[in-house]
Amino acid sequence: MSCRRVRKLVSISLDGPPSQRGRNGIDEHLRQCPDCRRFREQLQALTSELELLTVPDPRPGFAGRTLARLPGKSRHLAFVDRLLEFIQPAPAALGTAALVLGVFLAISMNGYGSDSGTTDPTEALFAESLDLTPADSIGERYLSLLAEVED
Amino acid sequence: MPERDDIALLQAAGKGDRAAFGELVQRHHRAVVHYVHRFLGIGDRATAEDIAQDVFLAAWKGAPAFTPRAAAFTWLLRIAINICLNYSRSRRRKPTVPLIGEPAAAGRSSQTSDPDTAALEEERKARLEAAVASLPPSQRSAILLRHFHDLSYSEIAAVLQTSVPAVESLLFRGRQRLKKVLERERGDA
Repeated sequence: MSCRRVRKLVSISLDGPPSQRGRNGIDEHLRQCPDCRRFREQLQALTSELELLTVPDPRPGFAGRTLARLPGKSRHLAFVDRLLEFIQPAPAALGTAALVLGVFLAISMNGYGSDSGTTDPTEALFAESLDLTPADSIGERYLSLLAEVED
Repeated sequence: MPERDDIALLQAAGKGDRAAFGELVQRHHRAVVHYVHRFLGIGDRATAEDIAQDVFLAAWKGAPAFTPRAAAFTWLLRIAINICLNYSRSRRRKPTVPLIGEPAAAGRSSQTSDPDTAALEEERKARLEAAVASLPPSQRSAILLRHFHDLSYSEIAAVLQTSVPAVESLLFRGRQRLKKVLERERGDA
């Protein structure tokens, strides 16, 4: 096998194991050829050296900036895209925000139901049907008033 | 909801679905920016990002004509190569050195606190960048796609629109040439 052929196989072997037949040919040649052995070492060193070629990651918001450059985009939708781009990398923050909002709504609705001054009678009835309202609640008062009217 | 694959996203983008295209950009922008940055050997991140955005704009325009014979990622990289070559032709610029304090320096490899060692490493890196930039575009692409994007020979062949044996030759000749350039730089040869 020629040196050139072996060196090409050495290059290929850097990217994955060569076939058994190819490996036998390379090994046999390398045992006898110091120049090709040196070539292999140099190529291995070069592969390691290439790792030096680092580049910085793109700045955050790249996708949003790209979408904003697409033709025929309204400014409003571009803003939505940028917003989505902004929240996309932070699903945990989004989840937390949703949880806080949910808790806030739950507390507000509970307060609304228990506030006798502003209670919606329908809602109070619903609460009563679930047996969530205490005795002598606004729901009971509403039902008694309703009975009086019907009478 | 199951994650849509690249081809489905690209086909949706071809019908005007910006959200699908946004997802595709989100998936691949890092690789495209890195490829552009290394291929052109440009020092500043903002220019690399501008060119990478041009790649995605071209992809958006070309999406309606995309046929799923190739993987979407290799299709994007092929666009990236064409855009980079056009940029090289139009500018005929040499690799630039980043400005002092430019954020690009933050991505550089110096992880040592010793200023002398860091300076030496920067020097080695600059030599390497110049050597890579001196390679013919096809050899440069093959080396970058193999080393930094971990593409197989058949994937590189798809990006460069050539055969697997041709990719083997491109990598072999590119490495050989890179080795010679670096030896000459160091005064070994």
